[in-house]
Amino acid sequence: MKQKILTGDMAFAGGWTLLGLYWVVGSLDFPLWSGFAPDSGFLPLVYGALLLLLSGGVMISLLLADPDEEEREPLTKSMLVLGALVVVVASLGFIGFLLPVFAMMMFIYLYVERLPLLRSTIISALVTGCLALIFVHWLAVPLPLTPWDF
Amino acid sequence: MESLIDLGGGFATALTPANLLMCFVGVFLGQLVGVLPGIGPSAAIALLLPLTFGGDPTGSLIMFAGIYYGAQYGGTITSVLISVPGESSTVMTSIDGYQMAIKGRAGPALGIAAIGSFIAGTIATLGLTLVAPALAEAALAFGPPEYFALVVLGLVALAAVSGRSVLRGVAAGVAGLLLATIGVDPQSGVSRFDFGMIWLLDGIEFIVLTVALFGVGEVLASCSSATARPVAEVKSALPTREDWRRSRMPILRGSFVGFLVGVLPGTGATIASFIAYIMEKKLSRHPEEFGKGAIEGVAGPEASNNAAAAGALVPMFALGVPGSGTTAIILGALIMFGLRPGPELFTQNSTLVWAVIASMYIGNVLLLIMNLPLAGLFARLLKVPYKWLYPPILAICLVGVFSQANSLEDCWLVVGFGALGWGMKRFDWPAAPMVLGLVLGPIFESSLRQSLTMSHGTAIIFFDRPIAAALMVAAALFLAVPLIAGMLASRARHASMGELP
Repeated sequence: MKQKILTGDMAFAGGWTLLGLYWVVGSLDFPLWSGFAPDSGFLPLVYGALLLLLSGGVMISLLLADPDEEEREPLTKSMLVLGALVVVVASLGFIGFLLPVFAMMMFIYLYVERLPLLRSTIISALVTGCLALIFVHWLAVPLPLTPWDF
Repeated sequence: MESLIDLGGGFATALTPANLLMCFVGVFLGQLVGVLPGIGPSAAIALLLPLTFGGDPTGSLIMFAGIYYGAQYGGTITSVLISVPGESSTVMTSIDGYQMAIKGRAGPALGIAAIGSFIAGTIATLGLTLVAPALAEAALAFGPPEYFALVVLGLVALAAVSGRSVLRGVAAGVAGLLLATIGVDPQSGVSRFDFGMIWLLDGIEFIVLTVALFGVGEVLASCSSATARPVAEVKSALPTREDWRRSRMPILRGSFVGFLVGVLPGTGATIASFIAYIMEKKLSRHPEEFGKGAIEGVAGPEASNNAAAAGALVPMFALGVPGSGTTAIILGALIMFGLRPGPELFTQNSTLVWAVIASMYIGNVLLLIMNLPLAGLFARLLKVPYKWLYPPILAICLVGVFSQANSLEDCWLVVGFGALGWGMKRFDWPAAPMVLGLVLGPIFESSLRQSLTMSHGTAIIFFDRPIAAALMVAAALFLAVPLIAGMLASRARHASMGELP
């Protein structure tokens, strides 16, 4: 039976391997040893090398293991939620927290989960209002709620 | 005797109205997150960290501890009523608990779980009261090599038992250590791996990583999979006299086993409940009833997982080594509040430690009161669909992380690490060792440098001092035993496949 080599598992472990490699290379810009003790580059070098080896080990074990029969959850919903988070954070710096947080919740309730409009609006408004009340008024955090708060 | 006097002082602090309220909020939230789908005690504490930042550490830690042991109670409700363990430590409870629920005996199953949890929690807290200070006193003689070995043991132990693969657990721990090198090196003042960004000079905050992995990551992983299940009805949670007669010894045995297992770094409540279940089945006169609704199969594991939760706080308070994923986050919270976890905690912050320990006695009473009459009410929460819950969790994550440093960059980090946490959950890479690596990274680096300076650059210092050597050997065993066991199991599997025609 033909086995698929580039699985999500493998790509994920590969990502860690690349991170380890990046740290190994980056650590060489710093002095490794000073007197009797390690200097700034020593531990990043060790950590990078260890991560490279361990995640490489995970990749090898994935290659040697029987193919994973377990069916994973579909990506669509999680990707939509992640996309919503990216848009919210990108807009926070311009229009404050109130509108993006409310809009994110409405988007997830109405578009991603297909929930009723009225209940979604009430819960989104309540949560946004409560967060503003707790963080801005009770905890006195300088949270920019609107574009005029910057 | 001295411990009891200190405990008295702890009660004086814990019984102030503010701390009593924090204790109630903690155990209530713990119970709640144990019941609600898709959010565990780690995520709950992570979400509350920004709210407590800059607040009173004693009250905050009382609340976090309450969430931790309260979640063990809450996880039982889902195990019994819908056969979905709210916590991994309640997996064993679901076997017989759910069978009891099918037979219309959900109430007594929840009742005996609550009573067993209360007894076990109290016994284990007494153990914590007596063992932790003695252990901390012995550990006061620790120097940099012992601290280094302790950090190695803590990381390896947690990595080895989190998730299915030791390799992935250790790699996640190393990744956390690697992230801890971002920012200014405190010894040389050199900036490392800051990618030219000024805001990275301080490194990656513990709160940011914790909220991202346990808050956003959990949501991204769970939003596709959470589905509603039918919930069994709860009438009366009071067990009968016969239930109590059959359960009292399993509760006592579970309490002691759970405490002992919980004290061992990295083992935690899940393993404790497995051991208790197997032990009760072996000792039972009716082992054939196990799996079909034996109340001993609920009482033993439930007592055990609650005792283990208190037991896991022994190495955390006494040595600064967490016994489980959630205690790793509580450890991070201690550091966030400017406290140094480890043996000195009992001498330098004794009021705080004893107040937290005293609050656990109070919290167990509160949980018993909440669970017997209110079990049916909490059961109704199971009907709240996860799709209504996770958007507010995301909103809290974003606002909470921004508020701890007023930094939009931290919000970007939360999204990035949240995606990473989703991947880790999806591909079975444990997140707790990564958080622990980030938390312990600076102590690891400074104790290594101090040790090697003491020994003029030779690593033999970690092996010629008895305590350090013993800790290093223990760490090696934590690493080697699961690997060897896995190899032997794999060889046996291949051998048996070879025998097949």
